[in-house]
Amino acid sequence: MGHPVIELDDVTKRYKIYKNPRHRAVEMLVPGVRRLHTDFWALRGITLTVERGETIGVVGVNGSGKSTLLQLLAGIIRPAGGRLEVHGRVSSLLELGAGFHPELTGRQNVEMFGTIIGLSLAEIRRRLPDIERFAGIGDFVEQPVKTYSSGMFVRLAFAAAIHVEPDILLVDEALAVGDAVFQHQCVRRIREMQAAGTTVIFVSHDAGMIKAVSSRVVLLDQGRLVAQGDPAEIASLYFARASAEIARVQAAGASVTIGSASGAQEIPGGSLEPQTQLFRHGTGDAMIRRVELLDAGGRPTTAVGFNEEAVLRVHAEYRTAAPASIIGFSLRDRTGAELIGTNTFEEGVTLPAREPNSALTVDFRLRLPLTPGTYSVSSAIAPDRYTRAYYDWVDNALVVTVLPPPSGKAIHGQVWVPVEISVRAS
Amino acid sequence: MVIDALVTPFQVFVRQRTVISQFVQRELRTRYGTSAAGIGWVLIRPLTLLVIYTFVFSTVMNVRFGDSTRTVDFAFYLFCGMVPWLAFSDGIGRATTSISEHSPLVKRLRFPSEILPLHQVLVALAIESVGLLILFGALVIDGRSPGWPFLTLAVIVLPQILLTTGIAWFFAALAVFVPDMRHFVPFGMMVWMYATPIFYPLAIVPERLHWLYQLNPMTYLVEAYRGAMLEHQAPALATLGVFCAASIAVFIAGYWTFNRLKYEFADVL
Repeated sequence: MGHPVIELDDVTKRYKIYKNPRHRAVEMLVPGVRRLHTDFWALRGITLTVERGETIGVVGVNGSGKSTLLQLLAGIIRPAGGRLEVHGRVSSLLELGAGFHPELTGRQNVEMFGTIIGLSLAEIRRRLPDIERFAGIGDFVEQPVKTYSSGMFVRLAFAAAIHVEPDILLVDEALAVGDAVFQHQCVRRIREMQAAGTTVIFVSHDAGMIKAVSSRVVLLDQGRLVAQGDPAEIASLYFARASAEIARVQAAGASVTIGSASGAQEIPGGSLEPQTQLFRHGTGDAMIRRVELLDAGGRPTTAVGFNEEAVLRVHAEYRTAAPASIIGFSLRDRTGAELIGTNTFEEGVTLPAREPNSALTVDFRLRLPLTPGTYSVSSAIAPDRYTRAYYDWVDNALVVTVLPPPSGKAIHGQVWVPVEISVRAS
Repeated sequence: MVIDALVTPFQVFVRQRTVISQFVQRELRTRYGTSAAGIGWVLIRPLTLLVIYTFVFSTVMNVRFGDSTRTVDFAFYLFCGMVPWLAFSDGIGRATTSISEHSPLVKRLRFPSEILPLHQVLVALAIESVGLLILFGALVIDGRSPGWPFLTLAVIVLPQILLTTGIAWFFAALAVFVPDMRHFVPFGMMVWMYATPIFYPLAIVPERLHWLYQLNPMTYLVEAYRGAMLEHQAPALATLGVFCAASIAVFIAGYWTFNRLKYEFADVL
């Protein structure tokens, strides 16, 4: 059917473990010396074929060989045995900002990074505007990187890594960085690359992300590929194993971390920030100016309690006459899956005809019975329900945080719906 | 096969030219762009060394080059030997630690790590060229305008790059696995410096030790610089040929040593 872009046939990777670092030197330099190392097999007998355009999620507990696999695919290390073929340009997000120099400006660092991974200076300069727009750090690109906040650094590094148009993208949990707005942006961009045919290999401990993004999941255990196949199936297999492992370790009185859950997030402002202008398209005859979240008392906020009443307020501005416009929104979770969405037409509300250079504010009063976390709001304005073109469509116009229910009730799944339970004993 | 093995090392200069030039620029920018005296340090260091060595060897110990008793002539000879030596030893010194200093690059990106030692060699050479300009200016002021043999430096510098890079590759690769190299190299360079006729003319070295000096490629280099700059003498073709052949051999051997070991770097760093 397709063209394999990655082929691994019985690939092994061995590390030599030395009790003392000087033993390595002795072994290298002194002829005829006996073996001073013990072998550690980071990967054994890995056979895997990846077709162009596939997205492979790699799961496994810490130390199962995930990172080694990515390093092999990136060409940083060589297998000890077996056959490994990778076709195409590889961009790896194994560590963001690897090779950035603190004394150089953001732009100089991006140019440097580009040449390191094999682009010509002209090719990088052509991509610079896109990279700077995606990073959204404004005039800071002219400043030395040492003056950046960690968030700005990550944004720029990620933007650079992702704009080099790779055939194969390797991601090692790099998405667990940056604020919520940026995370939504990253997922959005990775999905775009998937759609454009980029092969993506990514390592993550985030079950939701794995299931949502990958077309196939590979499970590693102690350096062996123990299962592969349907994302939901393999991910549950992994989490079943991982929880068994936690139970075992906790029983032994230690603590274990399987991965980083997305915890408290920096809360961004309610107006359209420069970086949110990124994913916007439309004719521009009318524009979404701002999207805000208000709490039940009408106060602007970015965080709302689970299933509490809130208002999503959309400010629109018309440049031309619009007799029958429609305004809508949709809400995506961190994996980019659309959970909720509606518009004034579907809800049976007719917007008043607008003159050129007039404005309109639409309030969507709603409740968000969603699992706690961050969500990205997109909003759009269209001339009518028949025209395919939009006046304006803005992705990531706002990121809202849904707080956990005060009762401490656990939410299973993404969305909670009211449930009535009746019990009859017989 | 054999042709490939001989040609591949040279292709680094062509294939990686963009990365090399970026790294050289970055090194110069971060080394001098961030200090108050800036590019001034390029002058301060060799001139200070020149004054100290001249005082110690000429004024105190009364070493002479040729017949001249003028201190300034001693300074010219000394500086002429010091300039290529500093380019050589600085390049190798910095190259030795260049892999571990850039470990994020080596561990996290597919990266032509051979340019890490190489760019330090080129940076040291760029700095050397400033020293040469000063020397040239000083000679003109002193009324000893160097004649056309001065131009032969342009030829000598090519094997000089190859020789330095070859040794730099060897030490840099070894230093990843043998941490002792970072102690050994500065110390070894000091020994090598005194074993090269920089502070004294080869003529005052006892005859029975000359074979040792003839094994030292830096002897040829220093003598060639002095010939071209001070004595209006182009290097003898035979000598130059031997120096070139040796430099090319060291360059190719250094490349293959480095290339053999570089895939293990990520395992060790």
